[in-house]
Amino acid sequence: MIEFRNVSKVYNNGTEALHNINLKVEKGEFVFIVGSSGAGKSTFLKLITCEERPNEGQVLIDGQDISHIRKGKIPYVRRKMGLVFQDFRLIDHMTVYDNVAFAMRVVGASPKAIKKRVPYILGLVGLQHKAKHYPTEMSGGERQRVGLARALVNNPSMIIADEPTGNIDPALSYEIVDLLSAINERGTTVLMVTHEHSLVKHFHKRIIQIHSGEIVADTAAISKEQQAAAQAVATQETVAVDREAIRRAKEARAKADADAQPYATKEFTAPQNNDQANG
Amino acid sequence: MKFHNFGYLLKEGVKNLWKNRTMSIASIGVLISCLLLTGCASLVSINLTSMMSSIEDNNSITVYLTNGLPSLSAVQVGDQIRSIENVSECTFVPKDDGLADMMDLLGENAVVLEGLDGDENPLPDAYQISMHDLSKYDETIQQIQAIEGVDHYTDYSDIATKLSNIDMIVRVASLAIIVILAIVSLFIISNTVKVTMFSRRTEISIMKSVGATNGFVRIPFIVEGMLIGLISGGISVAILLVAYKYAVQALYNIVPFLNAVDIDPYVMYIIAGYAIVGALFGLFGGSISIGKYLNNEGENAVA
Repeated sequence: MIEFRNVSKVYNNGTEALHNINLKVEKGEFVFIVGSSGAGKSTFLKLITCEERPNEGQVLIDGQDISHIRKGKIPYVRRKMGLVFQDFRLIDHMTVYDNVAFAMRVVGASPKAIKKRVPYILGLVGLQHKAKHYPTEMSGGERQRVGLARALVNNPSMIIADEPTGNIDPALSYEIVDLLSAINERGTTVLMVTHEHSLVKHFHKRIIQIHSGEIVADTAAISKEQQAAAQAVATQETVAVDREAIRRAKEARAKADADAQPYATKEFTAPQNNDQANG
Repeated sequence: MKFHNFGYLLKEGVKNLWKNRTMSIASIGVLISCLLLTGCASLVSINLTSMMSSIEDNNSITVYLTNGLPSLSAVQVGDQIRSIENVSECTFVPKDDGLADMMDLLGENAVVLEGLDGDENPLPDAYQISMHDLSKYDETIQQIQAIEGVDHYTDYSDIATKLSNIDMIVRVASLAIIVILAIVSLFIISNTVKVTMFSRRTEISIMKSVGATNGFVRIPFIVEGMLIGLISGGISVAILLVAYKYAVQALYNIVPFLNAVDIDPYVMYIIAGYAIVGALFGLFGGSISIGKYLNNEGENAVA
């Protein structure tokens, strides 16, 4: 599906973004790509979307070498992938329906096909009732679902998501990744760049860690059985330590209450809702 | 390209034009002035050329006899002129006829000549002659002037040369102005399209990210440019045709003997020409900026 063979990328200003990357992502995989800012994640994605070309090595999509592809053929490579962005990239003056339909229209789909496909996809991301709403009237989580619907509507074989949860309430982030997982289970390859460790830990998927332009870790996904086993062990341990823990917790609570007495008047401030701020 | 796509792209182009109307109007205005100037210059030039050729066709020369020359001598002069080999025709124009012609020409204003008839007539007798071979013009003129009793002659070669000079000046000056205006209008159209493009860059980046071809991205902007061109062409051809009609009328009132070129049979060609030129301008203007944009930034529109 996606293969990197000895890929290096040096930008014109001399920055070496990627160094000798070798990687294979099979059809139907779900891969998290993690790494700090400037590690080379964006370059990695840009090489897949044909925005940049590698200086060395080959990038293969479905066995086709795209590192030296003609410019005119790039659009057809991009039709194989659905892109999801951190900033959603929705068109504010179009309704949800039109935003999704737009993606079909610009690749030349017939009005009939659009009419049939868009409601289906909106149903898939759970937004059929919001088809006539405008993006500005929606929450970040909902907007990203529109973005996801748009990425899916042309039936791509892979979804490439660049920090799709970056602008979303942490609680809603799980929803988005759940959705991506569901899509993945239908056979679509998913590549997701993220910063959020909690997400990566929660979903037991393959993790590729990039650091200073090199792959420093590639952890295989934990299968469902392994996952269940791990869960079971964790539960047993929890049960064993439960009684002891409860006793300790009670003691700690009593002590904390006593300590907190002098500060009783101090108000607790809830953290700001990130989502609203970003909207 | 499928038909439903074509309709969609056309609609997008019209939308662009409307959303960005201030700039659209500015570019239409500049293009109109450019097209109008071109039209005026060519019409003036066409008319001057036609005037010159009508004068040249009518290559008659008027030979005036010395004032007060007795009739008998006048007849002798006529015989002598006829005896010159190159003279094909020689008609006597008595001074009374000359006066009558002049009064005809002046029409209502002929009153100024009243009372000058009969013996008061200031005009000399004249012969109207034509030549066989214009290349022997100078030689023949010399021979005529050598005849006693010939005072002076007039021909239209002077006027023809003057007209030709004016025509030249009009052509050169208008060409220079047209070239400058053409560049300016191209620049303005391309800027107009650029503004639209900037306001729609999110859409362009989304289009690129879902795999729209460059052609598809480009067409609405080219449609926008072509519409600007077509509208300008339409407006300027209408102004030009109406203005020409009035100008010709005004000209007839001032100098009734001039013959302006009748453009009625060519109206369809003129309209078609304006439409094509306008559309081409729009096409180039639009293509310049969208081409640049897609080359420079288009590939980076994804992330």
